Amino acid sequence: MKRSLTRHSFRLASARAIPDARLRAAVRKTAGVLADMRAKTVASKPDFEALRDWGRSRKIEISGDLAKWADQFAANVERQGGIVHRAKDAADAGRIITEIAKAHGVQVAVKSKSMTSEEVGLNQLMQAAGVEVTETDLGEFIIQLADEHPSHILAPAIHRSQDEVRSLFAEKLCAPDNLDVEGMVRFARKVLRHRFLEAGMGITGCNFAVADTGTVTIVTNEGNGRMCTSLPPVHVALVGMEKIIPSIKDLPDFLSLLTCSATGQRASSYISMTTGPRRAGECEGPEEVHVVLLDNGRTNIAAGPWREILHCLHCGSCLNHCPVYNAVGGHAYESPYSGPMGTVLSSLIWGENIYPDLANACTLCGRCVDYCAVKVPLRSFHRTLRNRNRQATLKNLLPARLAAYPGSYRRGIAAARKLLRNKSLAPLLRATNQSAANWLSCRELPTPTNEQSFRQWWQQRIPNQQDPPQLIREEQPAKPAPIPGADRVPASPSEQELFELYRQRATAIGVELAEITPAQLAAQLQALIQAEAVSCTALPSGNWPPEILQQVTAILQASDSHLTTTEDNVHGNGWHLDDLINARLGVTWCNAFLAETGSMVFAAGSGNGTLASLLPEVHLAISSKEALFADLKAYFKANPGTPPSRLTQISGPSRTGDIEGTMTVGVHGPRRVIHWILATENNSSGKG
Amino acid sequence: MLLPSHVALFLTCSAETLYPAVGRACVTVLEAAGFEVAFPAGQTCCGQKWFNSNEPAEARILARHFLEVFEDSPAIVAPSSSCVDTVRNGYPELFTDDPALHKRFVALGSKTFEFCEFLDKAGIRQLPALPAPVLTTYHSTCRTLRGIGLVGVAEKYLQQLCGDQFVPLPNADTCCGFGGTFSVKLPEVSGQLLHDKLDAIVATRAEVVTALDLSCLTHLSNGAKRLGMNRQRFVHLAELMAEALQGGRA
Repeated sequence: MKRSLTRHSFRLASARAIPDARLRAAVRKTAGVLADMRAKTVASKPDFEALRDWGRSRKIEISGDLAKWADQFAANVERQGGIVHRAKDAADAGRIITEIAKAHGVQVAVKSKSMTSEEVGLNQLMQAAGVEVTETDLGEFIIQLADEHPSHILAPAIHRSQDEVRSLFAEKLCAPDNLDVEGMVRFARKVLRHRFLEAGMGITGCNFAVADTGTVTIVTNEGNGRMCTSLPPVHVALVGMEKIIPSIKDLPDFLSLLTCSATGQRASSYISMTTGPRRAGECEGPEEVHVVLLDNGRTNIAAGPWREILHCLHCGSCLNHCPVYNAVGGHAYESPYSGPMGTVLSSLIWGENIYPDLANACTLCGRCVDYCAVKVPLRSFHRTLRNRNRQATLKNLLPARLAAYPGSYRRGIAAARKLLRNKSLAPLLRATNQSAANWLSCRELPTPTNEQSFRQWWQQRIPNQQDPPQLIREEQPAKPAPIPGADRVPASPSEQELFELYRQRATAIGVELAEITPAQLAAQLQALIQAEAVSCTALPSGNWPPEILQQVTAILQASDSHLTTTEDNVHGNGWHLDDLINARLGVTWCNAFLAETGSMVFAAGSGNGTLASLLPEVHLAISSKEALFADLKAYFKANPGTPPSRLTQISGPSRTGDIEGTMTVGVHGPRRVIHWILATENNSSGKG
Repeated sequence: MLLPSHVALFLTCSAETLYPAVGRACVTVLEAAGFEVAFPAGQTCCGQKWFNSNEPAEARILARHFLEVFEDSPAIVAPSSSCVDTVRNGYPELFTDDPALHKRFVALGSKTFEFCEFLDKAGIRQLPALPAPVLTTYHSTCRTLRGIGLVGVAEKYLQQLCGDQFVPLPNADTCCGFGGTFSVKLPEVSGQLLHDKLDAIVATRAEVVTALDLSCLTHLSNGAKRLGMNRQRFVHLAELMAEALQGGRA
């Protein structure tokens, strides 16, 4: 929400921002890194353009009937045991979430980055109600410490240099003042780990709300989203109505559009799909899941000419590619939504009285449209938001009428040519005309030469009709013959090719991949425990093929490392939390991994949660080769029906680029992700 | 595509006011390619300023006048991508509530071309080299790239004109900060983008800067003048072509 409901002036805010060269350098650096990463991935995805078209047409179906999809989503959340609240505006959303907190006696809440919550001003409302909210995304954490607001929807601390973050950490957290970026990330991990464990409530936004399953999907790289949805006993998801997509079948393509456009990742490190609360027999996950479905003007926007802004995936790509955003940074927009998409959303949500000149914050260059994940016509929207409530009067039609009348037009041109040659015009204009003075602030007045006008020349000239043409007009080459077989559908890749793709993609994002035999398992595991000086290992009991679980358990019991499992809770099924927190290594059985994105997929179930792959510093996943799928689509196809309460797609280690775009691993989740594939005769688990 | 041998030149208000040489160059090149050029005397301005400010009542007045002047021309050529973009893509948007008129504007737009785009469509594949080319760079303006979608054509011609003296501009697809009324509504941001673009130009060491949009060139050249940059000459690509045809700078 706009911090104070006073009239914003982009002119003043941008004029204040421009002299700050340090700010501009920081913004350009990070935005440039993000844009380059996108370019690299898109160049290697020949189907990306078609995917953008698909995304747009699918979104048109959705925004055409928001209410229908919202009802379907709400019904399915409730069917899965979630509780749905409808919030008509920001105040409503704040009241609902505050009341949930009070009902559970929550004093400390952790929050995963959510611009929708910024739109609502949730932190202020919660704090006023006595609930302490800690931002857990590193970028959001930094700006919360600095008592600032996000300046980019994806990288909220884009405007802060690492030196500034270092001083901030030293001042507010008593951190040593000589930490490098990795050191700062490690420090934040420690501080925030405590908050996660004491929080009574996890608050998240939502990237995609799946109508036909009631699934809330959150995309993060650090792992804080997973923490917020699995550690605290209550999870509240604040979902803007526009985040709904019809079907889980749409999810993989939308995820791909989002992450490729945002950071050039084929998949973000973590994709958390939450479908209702913890189910009977499960030992992890929140006991209550609340979904707050926010309207706040969205129904009205959907009924108007700027409806397509609701298609926005909030990927941030338009910001990264906007020359104006890159020059002034996000704060000049004085809204949680900045840059091209923010200009439209802010203007529509808060109106012309609050944001009178934001639509002018655009050169109409159109670059944002080229890089938009779902081709929102942002340029056209910026234009049509200008003067949108103006009624043309006869008086202000006069200049156009004069310009359209050849006689007055010609006299006007002649007068301008004469005036502009007059040296005393510039000082006079500067003193009397604001627009001219603004032009002259960094440019001279254009001056025509003394030569005759084009019309005079045209009237006097004798057309050259004798000489043969000097330039040869070639016939257009015929359309190239279609390459035979170019339209043939490529043969589906073999298992071996898919595996090779997985190897490439997983390795590229930092997964340590090895193929080992069951006979090598003991020696390899021992070596890992020694190398990482593991004093405690977490081993969820569910999901494993029994003979492999037996083998792994035996190895771990024989090692120096203490073993903790999901059968350790004295009250029954579940972890002994203190032991789990101390575990440095988590060993899991992974029964699905995806070639296209180099990811692993973990489904919650009895004795089988997702915490062992999240809390420890090192995550070792073991699979059989048969667990390979082409991509998330193929996985959903093989596993139809109601998704598990929590389904997590993991792509490499936990990572962040929130400090100056410097990629650092191990923020909230593991810094090492190891994947051992058993070259084995043992095929007891796998597809389907 | 089949192109007529008669074309109408739409000069645009900025060329009429500031750059008569660009008009003359267009005529020289089009005639050298065997076209008979007409200059409808009733032409005025395309109304881009009103269209971009979302003042549709005003923009419609100019659109109707443009239609009246040019509807009978077999093809219309203008040395400005942004004006062509307004005619081709803007005008039809102004008349969506009048199907008959809308159809006429779509037809008008489909035969209105930017100068360089027209030469390419007309099958001009080879230009003579300039007799003494100097380092030359090219600012591919936003409306050239994204408005009319002309990519690589000017660069190809520049390679023929200048040979290895043609140097591409880094960050070519970034806006120069002109943006029509943007340049006077947000002068601080406009000035910053202007200076970024001029820095990129200086880094190429080019002595000639060309583009296919006179308004961007006006902003760049007068920004350069303010900074005392007098090494560079800012010209429309048509002028370089005319120079090559006439064997040097007139």
